[in-house]
Amino acid sequence: MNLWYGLAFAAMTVGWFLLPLVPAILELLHPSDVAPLRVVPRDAGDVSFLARGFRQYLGRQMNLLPAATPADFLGRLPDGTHFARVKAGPDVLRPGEPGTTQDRVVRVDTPIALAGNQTFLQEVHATEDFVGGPQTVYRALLGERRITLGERSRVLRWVHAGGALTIGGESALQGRISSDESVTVGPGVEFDRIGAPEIRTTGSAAPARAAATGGWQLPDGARRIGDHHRIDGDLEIGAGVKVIGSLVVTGRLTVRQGAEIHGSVKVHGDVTIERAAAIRGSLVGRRNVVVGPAAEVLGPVIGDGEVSLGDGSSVGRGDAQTTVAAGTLKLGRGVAVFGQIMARDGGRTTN
Amino acid sequence: MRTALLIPLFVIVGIVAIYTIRHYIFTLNRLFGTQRQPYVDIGTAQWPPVTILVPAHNEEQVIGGMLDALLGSDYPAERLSIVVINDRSTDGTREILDDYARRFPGRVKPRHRTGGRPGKAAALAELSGEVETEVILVFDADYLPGAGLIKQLVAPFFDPEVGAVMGRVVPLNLNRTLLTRLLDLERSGGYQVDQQARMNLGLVPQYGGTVGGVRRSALLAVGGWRADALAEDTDMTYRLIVAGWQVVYQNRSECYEEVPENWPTRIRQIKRWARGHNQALVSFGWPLLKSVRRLPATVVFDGLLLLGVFAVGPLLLIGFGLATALYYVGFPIEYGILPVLGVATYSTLGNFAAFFEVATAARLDGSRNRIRLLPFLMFGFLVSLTSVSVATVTQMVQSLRGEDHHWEKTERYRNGNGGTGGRP
Repeated sequence: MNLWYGLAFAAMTVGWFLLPLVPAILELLHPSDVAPLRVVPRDAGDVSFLARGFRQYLGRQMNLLPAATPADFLGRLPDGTHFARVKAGPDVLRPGEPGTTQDRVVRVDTPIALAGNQTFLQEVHATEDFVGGPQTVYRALLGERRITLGERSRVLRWVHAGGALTIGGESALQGRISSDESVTVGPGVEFDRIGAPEIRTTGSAAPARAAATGGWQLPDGARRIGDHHRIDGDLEIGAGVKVIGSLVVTGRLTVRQGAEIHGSVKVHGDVTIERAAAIRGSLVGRRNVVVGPAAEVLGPVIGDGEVSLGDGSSVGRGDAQTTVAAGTLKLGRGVAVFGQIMARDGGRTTN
Repeated sequence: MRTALLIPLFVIVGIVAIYTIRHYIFTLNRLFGTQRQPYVDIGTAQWPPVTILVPAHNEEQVIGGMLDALLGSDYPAERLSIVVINDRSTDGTREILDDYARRFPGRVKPRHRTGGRPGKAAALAELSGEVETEVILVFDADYLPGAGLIKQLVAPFFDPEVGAVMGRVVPLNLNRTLLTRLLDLERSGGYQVDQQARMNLGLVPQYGGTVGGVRRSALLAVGGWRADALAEDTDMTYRLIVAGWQVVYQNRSECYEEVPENWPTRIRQIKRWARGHNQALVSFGWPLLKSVRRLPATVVFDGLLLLGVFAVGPLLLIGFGLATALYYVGFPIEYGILPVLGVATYSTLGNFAAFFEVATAARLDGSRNRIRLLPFLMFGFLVSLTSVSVATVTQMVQSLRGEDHHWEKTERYRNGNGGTGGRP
C-alpha cells in the first residue's frame, strides 16, 4: 500500500514539475509563432511615406474603375471603399456649404477652394491646387500641387503637397506633414513631424549675421579626446569669439552673441546659443536647447528635452538639409529649417 | 572551517544579488522608464562618407545576399564603400567577391588576405589603417541589413562624443530548431531590454562587433583594433569608454542574422565569447576602476558588472559547491542565504538575459506564443553555465601555461543543411 502511495506522490511531483512545460512542449511540437520579428520598415522615418503609399493605392483602384466612369462620380472603388471624384462639378463636395461631413475617399481633379468647417473622414487626393477653408478637419490630404489649409484646420494623420504647403494659424497637425517644395507654418500651430526642403514659420527672416573674428583660448582643464575637446563643467564662449573644433561640455554651455563654433557641439546640461551666434556643425543637447534670435546652426539639432528656435533663427541650409529632433519644440517667427522637424512630444509655433 | 566556507559564499551571493538587482532595474526601466533614442529621428542630414567592413572567411553561402542587401541601401551611393576582407577563404568566396567588384566598381572593394594572423580582429586591425572615412561600420557576412539601416547607424556620429554605435540583432532562422528559438528569445532580452535600458540610464551599452560601427578618430585615438583580442567588440567598447568616448545603442536599427542551429556550434560560440570577455575583464577591470574620477561612477560600476558577466557562471558553480560542502560538513546555512543564491541564479545569468528580461522583451516586441518556450531556456542556461565555466577554467590554465588562443568561426546555414556542429 505504501508503495502505491509513494508512486502516486512521485507521479504528482513529476506532474507538478512538468505542468509549466505543457505550453512549451505544445509550442515546440506545433509551432505557432516562428516568423522572425519584423524589423522596422525601411521607410518608417520618411515623412512622406504614408502619402506615397496612398497615392499608389488610389492609382491602383482607379485603374480598375470601368473606363466609362464619369469624371464626376459618386460611388465605390473596386475594393468597396466609398468614393467621390470631382472634376467639372465641384458641388459634389458642396464647397460653398459649410458644416458638411464626407465619409468617403475624395479625388479632386480641379482647382478648388472650400468654404470651411468641413470634415473629411477619409483621404483626399487633389491633383490641382487645393485651398481648404477654416476649421476643416482632414484625416489625410495628398495634393499634387499647392495646398493651403485655412486657420484652425486639423489634420489627423498626414498631409503631403507636391508644391508649396501653407498651414493657417492655430491649426493642429497630428502625424506627418510634408512637401516636395516648402512648408509655411502660421502662428500658434501644433505639430509633430514636418519635412520639406524648406520649412518656415511666418514672420520676417533675420538679416545676415556678421562673421566672428575674436580669438578663443581653451579653458583650463580641457582635455583633447580624439577630434574634440572635452570640458568638464560649465562653459561660456564670449561674444564675437570664433572657436575652431568640436566641443563636448559636461555642464551648461552659453554661446554669447555673434560667436561662432566651427565644429560640432555636445552638451550634457542646458545649452543657450544667443542672438546671431552660429554653430557650423551639429548641436546635441542632453537637456534643453535654446537657439536665440537670428542664430544659425548647420545641424542636425538634437535635444532630449525642449528645443526652442528663436525668431529669425535657422537650421541647415538650402544646399545642406538636416534634421531638428527634440522632445518638445518651440518655433519663433521667421524661423527656417531646411529638411525635417521631429517633435516627439509635440511642437508649437509662437502666436 | 565553517567561516572559511561561509565568507566566500557570502561574497558570491552578494555579487549575484547585485547582478539580480541590476537586471530588475533594467527591466523596470524598460517597462516604466523614459526611453532614449535621440538619434533615430535623424532622417535628413549631410551624410558623411562611410566605409563598411565585412570580415569574411569561407562565406560563399551568405556573402552574396549580404552584398545585395548593402547595395540596396538608401545611403548616398557615392559616399558608401563596401570593403569585404576575404580572410584566406578556401571556398568560392573570392570568386563571388571578384564578380561583385567587377559589377559594382568602386562600390564593392574586396581585399584578399593570404597571410598574417587569422581571425576577425586581425582582419579589422589590418584594414582599418587604410580606411579614410570618419565613420566605419562593421557587419558579419551572414547579416542582412535593411535599406535604411546604414543611415540609422551613421546618425549617432553627428554627436561628437559618440565613439561607437550598436544596432539590434534579430535572428532570421528561428524556425529551424529549438536552439534557434531559444536564441531568438535570448537575443530579444539582451537587446530589447538589457542594451536599451543601459542606453536609457546612460550606462555602458556594448558595441557588439557587427550591426554597428566606430568613429575613425576614436579608433585611432585608442590605438585601433587589437589583433590579439578574442572579442574585439568588448575590447573596443572598453577602450572607448575608458578613453572618454560614448557607446550608444539604437534599438530601432534592426538587422537580421543567422544564429547557431546546433548545440556544438552554440557551445563553441559561447566559449569564444566567454574567453574574449574574460580577456577584457583582465585588461580593463583596473583601468576602468581608475577612471572613476573622470567617468560617472554609474558608468564605472555598470562597466565592471558588464565585464564580469561571464565570470558569474563559474562563481555560481563555486557558490553551489560551497553550499553543498557546508551541508555535508554539518554546518547549516543560515540567514536564508541558499534561497537568495537560488533566486539569484535563476535571475542573474539567465542565459545572459535573465528570464524576466526575456519575458519583458517578448511583451515589448509584441510577440505572442513564442514566450511559451520560456521554461526551455533552463536548458540553454545549463549549457551556458557549464560552457562558460569550462571556458573560463581552461583559459586560466592556458594563460598559466602561456598558450595562445585561436579564433573560431561560427558556421553558416543559409543552404538549409543545419550545419555540422564543427565536425568535418
